[in-house]
Parts: sequence; C-alpha cells; structure tokens
Amino acid sequence: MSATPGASGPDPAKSQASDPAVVDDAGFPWQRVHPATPYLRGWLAIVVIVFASGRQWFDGLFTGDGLSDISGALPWIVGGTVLALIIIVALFYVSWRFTKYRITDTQVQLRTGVISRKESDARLDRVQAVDIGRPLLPRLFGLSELRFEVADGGSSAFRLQFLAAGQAEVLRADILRRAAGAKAATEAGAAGGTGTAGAHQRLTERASGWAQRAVADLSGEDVYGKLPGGTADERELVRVPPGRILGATALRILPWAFLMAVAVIAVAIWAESGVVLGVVIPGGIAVVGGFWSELNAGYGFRASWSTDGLRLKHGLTDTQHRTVPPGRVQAIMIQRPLTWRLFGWVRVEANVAGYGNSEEGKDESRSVVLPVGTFQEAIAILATLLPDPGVDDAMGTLTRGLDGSGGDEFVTTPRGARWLAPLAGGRQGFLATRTVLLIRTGRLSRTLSLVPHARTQGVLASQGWLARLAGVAAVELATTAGPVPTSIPHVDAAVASELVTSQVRRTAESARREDRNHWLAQDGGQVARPQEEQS
Amino acid sequence: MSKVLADPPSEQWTRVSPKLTAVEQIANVIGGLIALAVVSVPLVLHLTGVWSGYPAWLAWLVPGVVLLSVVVGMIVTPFQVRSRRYALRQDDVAVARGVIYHRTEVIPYGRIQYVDVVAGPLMRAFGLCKLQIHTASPDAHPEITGLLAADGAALRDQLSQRGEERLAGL
Repeated sequence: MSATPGASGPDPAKSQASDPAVVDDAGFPWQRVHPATPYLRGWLAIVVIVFASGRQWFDGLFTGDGLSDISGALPWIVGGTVLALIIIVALFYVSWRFTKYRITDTQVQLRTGVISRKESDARLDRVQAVDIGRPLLPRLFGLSELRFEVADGGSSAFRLQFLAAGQAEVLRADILRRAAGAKAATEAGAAGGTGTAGAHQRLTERASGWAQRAVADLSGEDVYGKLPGGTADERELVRVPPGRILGATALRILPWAFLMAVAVIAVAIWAESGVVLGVVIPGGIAVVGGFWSELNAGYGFRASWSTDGLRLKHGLTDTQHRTVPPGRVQAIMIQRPLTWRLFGWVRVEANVAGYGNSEEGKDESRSVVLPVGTFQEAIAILATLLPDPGVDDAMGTLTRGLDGSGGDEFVTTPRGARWLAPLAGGRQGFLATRTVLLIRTGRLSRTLSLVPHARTQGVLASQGWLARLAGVAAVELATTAGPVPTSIPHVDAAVASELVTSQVRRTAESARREDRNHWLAQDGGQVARPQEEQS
Repeated sequence: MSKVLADPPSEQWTRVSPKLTAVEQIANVIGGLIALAVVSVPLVLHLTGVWSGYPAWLAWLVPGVVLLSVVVGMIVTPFQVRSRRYALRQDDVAVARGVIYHRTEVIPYGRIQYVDVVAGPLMRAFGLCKLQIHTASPDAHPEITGLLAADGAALRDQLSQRGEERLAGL
C-alpha cells in the first residue's frame, strides 16, 4: 500500500506562516485503505444486479416458449448487466480513491466522499477505546476494520474500513501509544508487516500464505496478534472455554424458552393449528436468534492485560479485538443471573464512554467485559479496570456486594419501606468507599454496580407520591450510556438528601485528583490544571 | 424524620418567572383542544347517527377523560411552576421541580459539557427561555424552563465560565 505524496497536505510555504499545529500535520502522509474495501462494503449491490438480471434470463428459459423472445433480448440483458457492473466497479474505484486517512501527533483524520465530502477528525487524547473487528467476509481476505470511540460530545464511533490485518494491529498499537501521551512515533516503514512485504512476493507464494493464514484464523488461532508490540507484553487473565459459553448462554435463554413453550401449549389448546404456527415460528426465531447472537459474541472469549489496557478477543463469525484503556471505564456491573447460581458463574459488563452511542445492534456485546466466568475471574478483570476499590477488605466487600442479603455495611432500604420491594428490600442499597460507589440490587438475579466517584457526571434524586408515603426516594448516578444500572431504589429520604450532597462533593474532589487523559504521561493530563477557587 | 426529600442545602434557591404559568396553561389548552377534537370524532358520529353501533358509554368516556385531564392540568400548573427552582452552589448547580413527583438534579460545574438556551415561539412571546445543561451522560440533562431571556443568557455565561474553570477530563 503506497502512501500518496504530499499533494493533499498543506502547502509548505504557507505552513511556515501559520500556527505550529499545521506545520506538524504536513509531516504526516495520507494513506489509502485497502483497494478491496468498496467491494466488501458493497458486495450486496453486485449480487443484486447479477441476481436480478440472471433471474430474468432464467425465467425466460423456463417458460419455454419464451425462449425465442429471450434469445432476441439476450444481448440486451447481457449488455445491460455488463454495463451496470462496469459502472459499479468504476464508482467503487472512485470512492476508494477519494478515501484517505492519516495519524498525526494529536488526531486521526479520515477523508471520504466524492460529491459530498466528509471530514472526520478524532482527537487522540480523547480516545476511549480501540477495537479491531473482523466481519466474516473481510476476514477471509485478511482484512479488518479499526473502530474507536472518542469522547467528543456524543459523536458516534470512528471507523476505518478496511485495512490489512497486520497493519490494523500496528495502527491500533500506535494510536493507543499516542493516546497514552507518549511522544514516541512509529516509523512509517516499520508499519505494514505482512502487507507491504507481500507486494514483492510471487503470486503463488502469496496465495499459499494467504490460505494458511485464513485456515489458521478460522480455526481460532490468533494469527495477526503476533506482531512487534502485539502480544509480547500481554498477560492472559481469563479464557472462557467453549463448553462454558454454550452452557451459560443456554441457561440464560432457558427462562425465555420456557415461556415460549408455555405460550405455545396455551395457544395450541385454545386455538387452531394455524395460529399455533403463527406463534411458534416468530417465537422460535426470536429465541434461537437470541441464543445465536449471544453465542456468536462470546465464543472464544479471552481477556488479557497489557500496558495498552484490557485486551479482549471474542467472536465466532465476526471476531472482535478490543482494547479498553484504563481509566475509560465509567461504570462496571457484576451480575449473577438466577440460572447461573448453580455453577457460580457471573457476568461483567461495563459502561465505556462512546459505546452506548453506537448505531449498530452490536452495542450490547461490546459492553461485555466478561460474558461468563467464575467470581475469581471477574475479580481479576475488575482489578485491571478499577485498581483501587477504596476499601481495605476488597474481596469481602465485593462478595457481600454480589451475594449478600443484608445486615452488613451496605446502607439498605429502611424496614418500614420494604413492602415496596418485597423480594429485594433487605438487600438493595449502596456503600460509598473512598473511590467508588457500590450499588447492590436484585434478589433472584443479583447485581452489583460500581461507579467510580471520578466518573460520576451528576446525581439525580426523585420521589413520587407513593415513595413519599413510605418515606423513601430513588437516587441515581448519571454516567455515560451503557448497560450498568446506576440507580438506587428506595433510599430513606433523609439519607437520600445527604447522599446527593456528599456524592457530588466526592465527585468534585476525585475529579480534581484523578484527571488523567494521558495515563502514561508523567506530567498529568493535557488539560491545564485549573487554579483552585479562592473564594 | 421527615419523609419528604429535602433539597440540597443552599443559601438561595431562585424561582423561575411566574410568566411561565401563562405559557404552560396556553400550551396545555391548545394541546387539550387538539386531543379533544380527535377523540370526539366517534362521539359526534354516534350522536348524528352515522355510526350508531359504537357503544355510547365509550363515546362519552374518552372525551370525558381527556377533558378531565386538561382541567386537572390547568389546576395543577401554577403549583408546578412555582415549584421549579435552581441554585448555583459552590461546586455545582442544583435544579429541582415537582409538586407530586419531586425531582432534583445536581451537576458539578466541571461536568458541564455545554449549555444551550432555547425558546419556542410561545415562550418568546412572553420573553422567556429554557436553559439546557448538557453533560456526557444522557440521564443528566437538567433544564431550567421559564427564565427571563436576559437571565437565561446571563446564567448560561455564568455556567459556561464556571464549567471551563473546573473542566475535568471524562
């Protein structure tokens, strides 16, 4: 993949007169994505055209007596199809030529679009998470996409499609390094790895190499992770065996499958057979679809720790390689669903800034930090995302947080109000430590949420008329969007008022202490430290 | 022990302008009239005999319910407007409202991403505006409705300035 000469960069003569940021950018060349990208994105268009025209031809063939008509029209059909394909290929080529990206000292820039241009700039110091995704079709070609979330007032994820897999890995490492604040820059020549070296090999060698890599990749081996700075500095934390993910997903789906079965039987008794089908088929599709998507997302889950952050690899048909840099996690949840209690499994999900805003349906799987694991494994992962839980006996507190039913250090619903929540009343509550607020909810399915004080965006308290009768209120901590529940139900009214005030104070204090956008830089975050107010 | 959720302590809680009552009442009436017109169609059809099969009780019930909710809204609105209040405390801004359903939102200054001042045509006619405070969380977006336009602009500047002074990383 060759970099374009600096024709698209700013004019060197002008840049000397302008501010330093522009001069810096001139040194970074624009790069192109892989030429096959438009085809992998738009293969559907080609298939539709070929299918539509081919179908006409086949239809004509099968109607028999229309054969003579068809043979007259045949040249037109074939010619029309070829013309349409040529136009599409030309459009793809043009759109590829007008797509370019580059990484500077402070930003990643992406330029796309021919008629309506789109310029996307993402600031490196606001990078929240960097993911590498490999959907099925690009994966077969050894390509992957780079996706990263930037906290820029709610903008959606930044996607770079598609790059050679090796190059994507190096790029990800580079982005994370720069986002961490280190001044080191990778040489443009060292990047490329399997990509540029292959350009000089003979065709047969390239083909066999490609075939080997494809086979290894599909069999689950991490072919593209073995790069300089790839997996060398990793420490594996958790590996979820396929049997466990299969069993756990089945158990999670079990209640729904049971309800479905009950509904089918009820309908079968009271209605005709046609209606039964009308209920069974959509319901069955929903249950099986849910099972498959969860299995697909969690298969082969591996979590490891590196200086970049927590690295997660998972997926069956679409593999995902994600990195969650430390300090980006806004809230964490440990959950023990009812059907998993027998095996002692838990699930860990997190609010990562930017994941909640994404437009795809894969949102939920991207917030999952551990789809299923033992409590010990969950603690190991928790320790990397939240190094300081703020209590002396962390294990004990967390165990009581997840499994406890009351009578411990957690502040729970007052006795007089437990009738509002008969099952969970004795258990639901909160505990404020030095660094996080622990929220405990649920009785059948037990949940423990952890919200670091420094990540709280605001505190909300609400009280309806029924709650006022009982003398309780609900307190909610506002964090970025995500699956973690951050609401404490049925807190005693006086305690709730006090919690609002004290939580806001803790938030302000720890935000001042812990403001670090660059976690490797020695001199703290890029944002200038504000002077403390004198008044 | 009081059963009511108390406000976060502050020297001064500022109320919004009473002119908001007029705005809310007008909006309530307009919305109510439209809804009433829509749900009265079966009633009219029933009374004129075009659709006599429609159950009479239902034809009277639905418009009746809508009318009742409009009237109740008109009675409650002045109290609701009077309950809207905000306070600029030392490290954060607190916004509260509600008569039957109390709601309090407290946002530290450093968490404020940006502040919007908006005003629809009805509000502009009365010289009022609405201040929206945005944070990184979709759950925390307090709104102060019913400020005089000049107050709103001043408050926005004040919040923006305090927000920038204490800007914290995400």
